[in-house]
Amino acid sequence: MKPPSHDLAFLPVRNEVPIQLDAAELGVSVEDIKRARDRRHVHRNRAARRRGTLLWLLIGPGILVMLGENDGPSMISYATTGAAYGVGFFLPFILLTFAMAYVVQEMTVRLGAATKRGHAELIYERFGRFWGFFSMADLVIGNLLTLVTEFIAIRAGLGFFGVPPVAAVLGALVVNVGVVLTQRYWTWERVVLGFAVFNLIFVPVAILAHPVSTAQVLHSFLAWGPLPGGFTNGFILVVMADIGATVTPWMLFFQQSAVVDKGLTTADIRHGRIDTALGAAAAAVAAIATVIATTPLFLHHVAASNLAGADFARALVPYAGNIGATLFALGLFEAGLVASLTISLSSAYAFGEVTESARSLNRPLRDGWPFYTVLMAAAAIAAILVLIPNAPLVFITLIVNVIAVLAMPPAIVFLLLLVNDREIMGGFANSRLSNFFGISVTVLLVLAGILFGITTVFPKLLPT
Amino acid sequence: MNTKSPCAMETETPMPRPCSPAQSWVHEFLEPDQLSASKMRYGRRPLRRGTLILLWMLRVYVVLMVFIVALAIRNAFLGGN
Repeated sequence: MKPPSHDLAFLPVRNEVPIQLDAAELGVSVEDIKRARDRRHVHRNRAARRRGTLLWLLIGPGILVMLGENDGPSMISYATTGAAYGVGFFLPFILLTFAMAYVVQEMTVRLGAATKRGHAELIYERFGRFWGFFSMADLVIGNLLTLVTEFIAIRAGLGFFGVPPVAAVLGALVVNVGVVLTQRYWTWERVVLGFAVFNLIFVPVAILAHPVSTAQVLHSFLAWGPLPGGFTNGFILVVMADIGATVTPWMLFFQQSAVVDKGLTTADIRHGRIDTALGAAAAAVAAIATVIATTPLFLHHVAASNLAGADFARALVPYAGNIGATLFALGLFEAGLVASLTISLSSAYAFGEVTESARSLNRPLRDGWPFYTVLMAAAAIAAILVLIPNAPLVFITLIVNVIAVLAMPPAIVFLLLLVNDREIMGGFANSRLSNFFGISVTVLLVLAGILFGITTVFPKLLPT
Repeated sequence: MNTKSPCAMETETPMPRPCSPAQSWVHEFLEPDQLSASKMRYGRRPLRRGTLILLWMLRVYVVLMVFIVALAIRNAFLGGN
């Protein structure tokens, strides 16, 4: 029997990608077809040993999660660190926090690649509805607070250029919606990567400010000092803020779900690790550059405790020039924008996974409308809150990073339980060394939180 | 982990659907668990008592610390006034 001319099943599919595939006729979803197209490029380049192209195809989730975590409040934390302590103890300390972040995030790569499931989905499937919904609720509430601070950063960054708050916030919302409506994970990832690279804009600011010599910078890494003022309550707060600027719960959920949405498999774990390491390195460079960039404020005894957002940019004009200040403000805007894109997506992923509904940027709008609704609503609600007159924005900015540190230990415990589960991980479960590092990170976070708690309840224990 | 294409697997239906070449194309590049509709569910893994106690202790820790953060913010505002 002669096949009908419109029967797509008979199109040559091995060497050419069919122009149009009717998912309903083929018994696979549109999401599957889009993911298969992406994976086809990976397979071809792996077979042809095109290592550079293969790396380009496989990077994304790791870089985005690390640079996304260099968000508005994080860059303000680093700026405050430089203004309060200058070049010294906190440079190697920040490097240590990114090493901690790598240890944790690498586990999410293995989890996503081995199980093909997002983080919330795994918690829900393995530990039940209660813990699944609890984790999702934790994440959504924490993300909402964080998203508010991202729009604060967007507003502050563009406010430096005289852009009214409403225009700044609405413009960012339009970008959020526009990128998501491509309905294609690959496109969303590449666009956001393009934005995220601008996190390194703080490097030229540091060069323009050049507060200390390169030798002094290198000395601080070796000596873990100086630490002006020693161990004080203010020091503990900055430590907490800097840790919270690097490790937060949304990162676990985002990277694992993005690994799944991107279609990574166990064959890609090595590249996933490289991706995560590249992201950690780039984010650490941007963070350290920010500390160096605001060191002139420390050296010239500028009171930085009340500086917020674009105030830092204005305060840097005498030391980094108008160009340096402009770049700083742009960096603040970029930090808020990229984080708003990644954090809202992590909420949508978790919602879709726990409610067993759509959870992919490859899903068409008509099928995945709950997923897209949550994604856009998360950003929209945060944007609206920022525009409310007299909203306690400073309060929210202050608590967000600290709460991130406090919420991390329960999240890491679930992560460790899952990544040690040989029934789902097979040969990709944690080694003893990985468990040692993972447990060490958890203990360190709990101890930091307890120390913060003690010094808050008994403030006279340490000098102010 | 199962990497066999579902096109080759026996299905529960009496008459397995044959795969079209285009379906095979998608299955060639995606593992079965990567297909949006065909994931096998993992079973529940009961949490041991010690793990449950740890998780609840960490929950209590988080709630307590939220109050302490509120106290810290209050102290910061009062100290600034």
